[in-house]
Amino acid sequence: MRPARRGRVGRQLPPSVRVGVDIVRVDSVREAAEAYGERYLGRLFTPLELAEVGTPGGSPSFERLAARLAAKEAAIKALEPSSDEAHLADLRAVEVRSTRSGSVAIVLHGGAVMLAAARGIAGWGVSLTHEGEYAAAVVFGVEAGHGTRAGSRRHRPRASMVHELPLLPGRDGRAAVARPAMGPSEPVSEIDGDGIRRR
Amino acid sequence: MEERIRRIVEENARLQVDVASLAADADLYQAGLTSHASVSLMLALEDEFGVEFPQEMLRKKTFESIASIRAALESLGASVS
Repeated sequence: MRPARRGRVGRQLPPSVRVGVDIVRVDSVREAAEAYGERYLGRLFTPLELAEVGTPGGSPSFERLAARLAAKEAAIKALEPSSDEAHLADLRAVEVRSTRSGSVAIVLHGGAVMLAAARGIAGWGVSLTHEGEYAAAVVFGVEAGHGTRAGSRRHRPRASMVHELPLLPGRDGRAAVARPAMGPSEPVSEIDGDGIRRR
Repeated sequence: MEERIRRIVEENARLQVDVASLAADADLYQAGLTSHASVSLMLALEDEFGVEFPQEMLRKKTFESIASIRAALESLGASVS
C-alpha cells in the first residue's frame, strides 16, 4: 500500500488575489448630490474624479459617479481594513482614474497605500458597469509573490507606491482587465462598463 | 438629542425597520444602513447639529448605532439639548 501523502491534503495556499464587489443605486447618488452639493461630492470624490465625470452640460454623470463609488467601496472591501485601520480607508484615498486608453484604473493615496502595502497588494484591476438604476464594480488586488515580478524584492510595494492597473481594450469593443508586466498577459475578465472606449 | 438623532436617521438612513423600535445600541447596518447612506446621514446630522464630521470619522463605527452617533456628536461638541 502506498503511504498517504502527508501535508498535501487540506493544505491551503495563501490567496493571490483579493476581490471586492459593490453595487450602488444611481438615484441615491443623484439625490444626495442634489441635496448636499459640493459637501457631498467633496467627501467621496477627488477633484480629478469630479472633473472626469463631467458632462458637456456641466453637471456630473451620476451613472459614472455611482460606478466610481461602487469601485471605491469594492476596493476597500478587498483591502479588508480592521476596526483599528478603518481610519485609513478613506473613500477619497481610493481614486478611480480614467486612462488615456479610455478605460479606468485604481490609484491609491494616503492611508489606502499603507493598507495595500500591509496586505502585499502590488497591483489592481477594476471593472465598472451601470445599467438603469444601478451601478456596480468588481475590484481585485493582486498580492505580490505569486508568480509576478511584483513578488520580487525589487518590486515589493512600498508605502509611497501608487497602484495603477489599466483596463485594456478587448474583443468586440468590450474591455478586458489585463495585468501589466507584473502578471500574466492574458485577459482575466471581460466587461461592459463605464468609462470604456468603444470602437 | 436622541430623538433628534432618531428623526434624522429615519429621514436619511433608508432603513428597513421602524427607527423608533430600535434600541440605542442596535446595529444600524444590520437594520439596512449602507455605507453610502451613512454619508447622507452624516451630512444631515451636520446640518441638524451644526457640527462637521472630520474625514477620519466617516467610517462604519461612527454610524453603527444611535448610541455611537450620539457619542460622535458629543465628541464634536454638539448640543445635547
